[in-house]
Amino acid sequence: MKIFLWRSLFALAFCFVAFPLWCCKWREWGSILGIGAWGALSMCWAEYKEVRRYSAPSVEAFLAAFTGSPWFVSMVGFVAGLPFLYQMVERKRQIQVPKYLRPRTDTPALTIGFGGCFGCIYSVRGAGGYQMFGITPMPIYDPQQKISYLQDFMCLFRPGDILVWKPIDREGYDSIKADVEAGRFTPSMAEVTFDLDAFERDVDGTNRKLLEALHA
Amino acid sequence: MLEVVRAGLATTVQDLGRPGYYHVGIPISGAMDRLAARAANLLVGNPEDAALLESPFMGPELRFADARTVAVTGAEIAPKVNGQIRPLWTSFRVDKGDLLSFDFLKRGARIYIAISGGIDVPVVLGSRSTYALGALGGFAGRKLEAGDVLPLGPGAGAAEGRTVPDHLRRMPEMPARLRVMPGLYWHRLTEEAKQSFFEDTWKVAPEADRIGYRFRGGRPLTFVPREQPFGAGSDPSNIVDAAYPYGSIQVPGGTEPIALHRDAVSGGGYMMLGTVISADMDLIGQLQPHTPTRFVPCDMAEALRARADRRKLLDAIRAHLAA
Repeated sequence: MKIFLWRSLFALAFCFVAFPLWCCKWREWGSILGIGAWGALSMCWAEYKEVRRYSAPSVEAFLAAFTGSPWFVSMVGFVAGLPFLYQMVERKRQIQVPKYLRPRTDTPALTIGFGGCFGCIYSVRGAGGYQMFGITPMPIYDPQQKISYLQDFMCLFRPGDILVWKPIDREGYDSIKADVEAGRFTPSMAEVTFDLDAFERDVDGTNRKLLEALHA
Repeated sequence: MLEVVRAGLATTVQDLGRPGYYHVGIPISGAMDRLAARAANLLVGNPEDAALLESPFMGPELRFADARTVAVTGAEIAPKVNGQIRPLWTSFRVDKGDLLSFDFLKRGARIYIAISGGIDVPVVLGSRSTYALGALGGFAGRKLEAGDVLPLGPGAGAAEGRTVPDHLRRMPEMPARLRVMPGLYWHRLTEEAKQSFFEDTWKVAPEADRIGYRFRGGRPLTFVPREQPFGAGSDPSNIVDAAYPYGSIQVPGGTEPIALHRDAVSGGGYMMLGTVISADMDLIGQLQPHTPTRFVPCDMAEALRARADRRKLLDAIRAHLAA
């Protein structure tokens, strides 16, 4: 299996907020520039508050928990290439949040979602029932197979892959997006062997070794 | 070549679909009413799995660059060649420069426009079908737009005047009846909800497309109380995320059943009470918004009989057109 470093812009930290999606239609989310100007408190903020209520004492604690340990791809699907992500920590440390009761009819591509105990990356624009927390500049599905790291197959993730979040800021987002478009970007990735028994014996130690393999 | 003068609402290139990639979230796609699509291809002398056009609710306007045989099946939207009405479920000729347009919708929801030679867009993952959500396949991965020029395969086609008689065509009754095999998370419903789901007359909601058909108007479904399993989410309609079969009926919040169709999402976190049987999936493709619909309980034996009946119907169409 593979482990990936996944760079993502989380809404809270940088004030990029998603407007309620059922009342507007974007032609493209690519113009993330415009979103800052749309003002502050809306969907994502509300969703962070929801999380506080359920899981974490503060937004900062939520982000630390969200990005502090690796995630396991338990299933690929919903839409093309979308990874369902399972937090690789003991159950008592896992975050749980509510899902939408009426699914959104629209979600920007590459939104970071979270519902129940599962995270996801929305590979394409479309409906969704998970709450929205951030956005990544790194495509995970490319039907044209022009993206450098999607030329073998149009979907990146397979069940069993492992992903580690790396928060980035707005400049990082723009720079990676430009690199992706120019064909200069490859995600940090390493081949690893995951041993469930070892993981269950020592969660943090196993995760640390996975990270070492990724950064080696 | 075929020039799209007007595209209609959501005209797409489809064939019989792209099996084999659902496990990574790429659905089968293909014609929603497969029987109508097969019949249209047979009428013009194409292989049954040739690519054709599927148009919901209204037809496109198409200009031909050479002589072809054309057939239109499915919904009752009469085709016109240079303004002259042509019969449905019947092959007819078009010449170079002719304009194919359509009358308004009288019954059903989707027409299938087969053209001899087939729509010759590239094969992607084994199919020419459009999966618009994933921008995959078909013409540029999207619904058609005015000005598009579609490549056609070679083939002057079968003779004109070949027809599929009335008794070999299949359209929904009124109210529509969709047979459903209870299963999957059926045990989550209360006895009252299990009854009301089949007793109530539902109506097709405006949110009805190739991904799924939503229904509303029945009594809300209630759930057997339980402590939600870890990771499922807080609502009783939530489950630990699982795979969604084609035809499965999910009921977010217990209010509006959604039956997944050819461009289905392949998994998620809402309970599914059962599955529309494969023999009735074609009928969903012919439901207009607001169509009253009854769900009818069905067991495996009846579902398999229905599938066999549908195969016999197809064989009868093949035999009729081969004669």
